[in-house]
Amino acid sequence: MSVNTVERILWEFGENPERIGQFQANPVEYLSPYQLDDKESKALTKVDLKTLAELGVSTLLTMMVWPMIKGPEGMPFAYLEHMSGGKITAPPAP
Amino acid sequence: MAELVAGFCLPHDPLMASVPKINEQAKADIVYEALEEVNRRIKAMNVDTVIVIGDDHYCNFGPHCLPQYLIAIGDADGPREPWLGLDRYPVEIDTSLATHIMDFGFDHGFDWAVARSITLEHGTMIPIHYAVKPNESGIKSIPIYTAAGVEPLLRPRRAYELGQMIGEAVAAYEGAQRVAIFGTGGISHWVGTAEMGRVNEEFDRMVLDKVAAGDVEALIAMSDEYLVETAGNGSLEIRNWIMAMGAVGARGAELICYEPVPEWICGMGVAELKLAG
Repeated sequence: MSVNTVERILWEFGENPERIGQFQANPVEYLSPYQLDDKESKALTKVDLKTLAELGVSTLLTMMVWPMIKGPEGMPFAYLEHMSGGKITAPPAP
Repeated sequence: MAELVAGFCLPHDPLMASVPKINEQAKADIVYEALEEVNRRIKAMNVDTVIVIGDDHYCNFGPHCLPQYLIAIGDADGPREPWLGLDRYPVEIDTSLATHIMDFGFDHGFDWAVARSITLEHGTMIPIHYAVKPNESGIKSIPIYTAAGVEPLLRPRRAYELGQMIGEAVAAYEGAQRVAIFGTGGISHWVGTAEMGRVNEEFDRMVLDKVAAGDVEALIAMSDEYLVETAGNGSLEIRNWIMAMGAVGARGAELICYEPVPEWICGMGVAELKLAG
């Protein structure tokens, strides 16, 4: 388990958004320098932020990187759908 | 001598800037007006400087460095986040008083992390933008960041003691500044979790009742586990309010507004603290 390293990877996306493109171009190669277990690597590669949050990754970071990777139009509702498995507690968008 | 003349508790919700139009616009307008009222009050009290306590949201600080509390003493601008939709602009810091508070802390057992040049994220920039309004008021700021959103968290008792130290530091300063302090943050809110958008109005009103009664010990006694379970991870920011209460020795507060705003994912409270003495 290396939640700290996962948080570092996500934080670095925010610090330097150009990293997003490098990650998306070749996730396996991008993640290779980091010490991650298989579950973490798979969750990152699949952008499975729900699993990462369940592993203990800060939701401040998962919320930050979702629009950077998936696009801002998915916030907040596509993100919430992902995190909640389809249950959205917030009211509809204006 | 400098004097701490006012204290306020208020939100720093970034969605106020990025999503100004919501379905329940009347609620939003009440909150905007409450922050205007804070601005009017500090101007009426001829405040020179506002100490703005917020917390970092994994923006300026990363897993490589997570200070418990940081004071900005030099140059600043903000906001850091482009998605807020606000143009970045310089924020003038009261460098002499900030440096004094830093030194006073070092001499009294508080080892600050220090920023000599910083781009402020929304934890301090939203209250500066909406309630200090430096470009209109000419009022200077002293931004302080606490660990109230990212673990390891600043202990609530330590936040209170830090606030007390700040109050003592201002009183010990030789300058003539009239100073206000803002403790900022939402009340109940779930940030980035599956429950984001939920607001616990009952909890929020209970907290505001404690603030109004000056019962800071009741706030300090709330465990982090209780806060996260009852009011979401965002409610951990209550330590910023505790800190402001410690600074002014709050014996109570006047509620300016409370609105539960699910579209802003937050219970939004604004209150003016009643100063000791």
